[in-house]
Order: sequence, then structure tokens, then C-alpha cells
Amino acid sequence: MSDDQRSIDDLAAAYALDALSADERARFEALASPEARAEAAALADTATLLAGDAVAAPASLRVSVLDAIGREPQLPAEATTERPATEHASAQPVALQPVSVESQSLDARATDPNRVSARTSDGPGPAERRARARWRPIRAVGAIAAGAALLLGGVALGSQLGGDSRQEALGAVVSAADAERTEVAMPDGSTATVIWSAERGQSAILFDGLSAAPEGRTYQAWYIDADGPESAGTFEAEGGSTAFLLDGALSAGSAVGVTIEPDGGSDAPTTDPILVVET
Amino acid sequence: MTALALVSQPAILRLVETTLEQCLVRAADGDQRAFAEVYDATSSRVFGLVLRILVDRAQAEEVAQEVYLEAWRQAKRFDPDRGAAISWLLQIAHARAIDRVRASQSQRDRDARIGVRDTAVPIDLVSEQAEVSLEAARARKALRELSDPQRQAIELAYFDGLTQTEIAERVGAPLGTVKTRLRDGMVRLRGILGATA
Repeated sequence: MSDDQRSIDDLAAAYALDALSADERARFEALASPEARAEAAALADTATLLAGDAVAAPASLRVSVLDAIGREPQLPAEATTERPATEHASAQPVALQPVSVESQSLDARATDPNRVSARTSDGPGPAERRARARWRPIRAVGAIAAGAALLLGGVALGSQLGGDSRQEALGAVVSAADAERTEVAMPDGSTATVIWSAERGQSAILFDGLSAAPEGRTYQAWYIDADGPESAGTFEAEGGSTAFLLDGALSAGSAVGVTIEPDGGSDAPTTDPILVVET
Repeated sequence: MTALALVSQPAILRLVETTLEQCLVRAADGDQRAFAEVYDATSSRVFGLVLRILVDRAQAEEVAQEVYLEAWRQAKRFDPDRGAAISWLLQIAHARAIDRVRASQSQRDRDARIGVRDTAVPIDLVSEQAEVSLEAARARKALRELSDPQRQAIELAYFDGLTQTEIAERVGAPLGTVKTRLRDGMVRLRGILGATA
């Protein structure tokens, strides 16, 4: 990590405490590493525990708040949250954005009716939710109902109305003329399908039932070639059917790998891969 | 404090927060009654925090109103996957209160106000408390476990709204030292208090 990056990342705790000047805050928001953003989010969460004792607000406040919201428009969801959100796409390793996949249409399921589902039924707990707090999954079901689904190789990918470049890119890989795929059994009993297009130099992984990474850990994808592994982004799982377009370029003959890394990802793999597929 | 109290209280909070998050998500769709439920469940904590930072009751009411209006406007941007509703609201409240401190007060006014608060105000606050939060008691206990310089730096930042540069000037320490105190202190607090907001 460069000294410049370190000097920015060192602001995480002060950022979490709102103890930065406006300039410093803007600098952190623009340039902080994913690890520092995750740390700031976690520490901001902790800071709220300091908030102190409750004090009854005057009844007049309730009246005026509820009166005011009746006249106050709500902002759309997609714009960047001013605060307290801290998510940005910039430095490595990139946090991959999941695209939820209609599970019924996963061909793995359709062609192998005997396969036992490994998905977990429990929803994510608060700790897990915080661990995943760096991005917002895209829910595709409604969009499919709206007629915007792409039916590609037996996999229906939701494409939100209005378009989403990540989903379009994912669809382009899956539907590429030279697309190849390999299905792998994961250690937890779930199934992963690696799909790649050498022509496009991109790949994607579809997970069906991959359970969440242990607390404080994240999944990280890698492109591995003669020069060694290069991060292809971090991602989280929650047991459902989810697809990720990997970050970076797939070069000829590279392998695609997945490891479990500390939250925020690593510069190089620190554990044995749970998935390796040679392209 | 017994280990049981430390374990069981966050479990109760989680239950409460689930409901709050659902209400906030409904409010995001324009449901004003759901937003009223969010207000009722959180207003004493939001007001308690804002009042503690601003001290002045009239200003605290104004800022608390701003906090809820911002929460209403931004409700669609609240994502339950990113954390608890109370944490989201308290972060907005903190940022708004600190902005007000910095915008409306000269350094001198602020110093004077902080001096006043250190003596007289806590008594007022106690008399006004609707409830003594177990969570606040835990946080106070956790703060006492930090080193004095760490606790001082965090309190000057969180409650007094000083920037890290102002803290360095105030305590006469290099900026780098203050950064380290803030970071080490917060990481330690997180270790003591756990990850549950």
C-alpha cells in the first residue's frame, strides 16, 4: 500500500466519528480503500453505541415532524447516499455486485433433479448483514416479471428496467458465441458454475446455495496465470442463487479461483482455494 | 455486570431493530404511519444524542426535526442489509448535530458551552431522562476501559464535535498521535462492545 493510500485510510476512525474537516471527509470518501471503508462503516456502527441515554423529545416535535413529512418528497433509492453510506467503486480489490438469479431457471437444477439443495433456510443475522454491508444486492425477480429478463443458456438473468451495465455485461458473457462453462461442487455441498468467454476476456461465476463466508471473512475471486494470482473482486453469499461478473480481464489460459479471505479481501490469496477452474 | 446481561441485552435489541427496519422500509414507500412508528421507537434516543451534543434545547429540537426529515427523504436509501435502523438514524443525527455545532458556533462559543456542560448540564439531563439505557451504561463502562488519552480523544470528537486537527490543538498532541488514539480507541471499543449496534 502506498503512503498516500495509507494516509487516507488512516482517516477511517475519524471519519466514523464525524471528526474530519469537510475537505478531509471528501478526500476519504473519494479515495479510501475498500478495507478502510469497511472499517469506517464498522466503527461508525460502534460509535452509535456511545449515543448515550435517551431523553424524551417534546410532544411538539412529533407533531411537527409528522406534519412536515406530509409535505416532504422522498428521494429515489438509486442516488448515492450522502451519509452514512460509504460504498464506492474504486481501488482493488473490488467488491463484486451480485445479480440474483431465478433459481427455478438454473439449468443445474433442471438437469439434475436428484441434486440435494444445499441452500440454507436461515436468513442472514445482523452480524452477517453488517459483514455484507458494503453493497446492495440486486433483486431480479420483479424485473423479470416486468418483461426485462434475458433468457440465456437456460439461465434467466434479471435485468432491471432502465438497464444496468453490470448485468448487461454478465449477460454478454453468458451469451457469448464462444462461452464455455464448467460446473463444480463446492466444499459446502453447493454448486458453482464458472462461465467464461475468451473472446470477451471475461468470466462469471453462478453460485447456487453457496453458504455465507464465516464472520469477518469474505469470498474473493482470482484470475491465476503464469504471473500469479490477481484479484478479481470480493463477494458475499447468502445461500441463494447469485451470479457475479468477475473484475478484470481473463487472459488466455488463466485459471479462475475462489478463496476465503479476511473482510475487505487480500492482495494475494492467503488460504487454499475452494474453487479452481482452468479456462 | 454479569456475563448474562452482556449477552442477553443485544438479543433483545436485535428483536426491536428487526421491527424498526421493517417500519423504515415501509416508510420508504411513503407510509407515514410506519414512519410515525419509527419516530416513536427512536425519538428519545435521537433527541438524547442531539441534546447531548448541542446542549441547547431549542437547537436540539430544530436539529432533531432536520434528522427525521432527512430520514424521511432518504428512507429509500436505507438498506436493512447494511445495518440496523437505529444505527442509521443515530449516524444521521450525529452528523447533523455536529454540522450544527460547527456552523453555528465560533470556537470560543463552543469552548464556553463545553465548559458549562461539564458542570451543570448532566444534572439537567438526568432529570429529563425518559429511560436509562442499558446500552448507554455499557458504553460508559467500555469507555472507562480505554486509556485516558484515547477516551478523551473519542469524547472530544463524538460529543464535542471537534475535528481531529482541533483535538490535536486542544490536547497539545501531534495530529498523528490523535489519529492513532481515535483508531485504537474505537477498535478497542468495538472489541469490548461487540459488533451489535
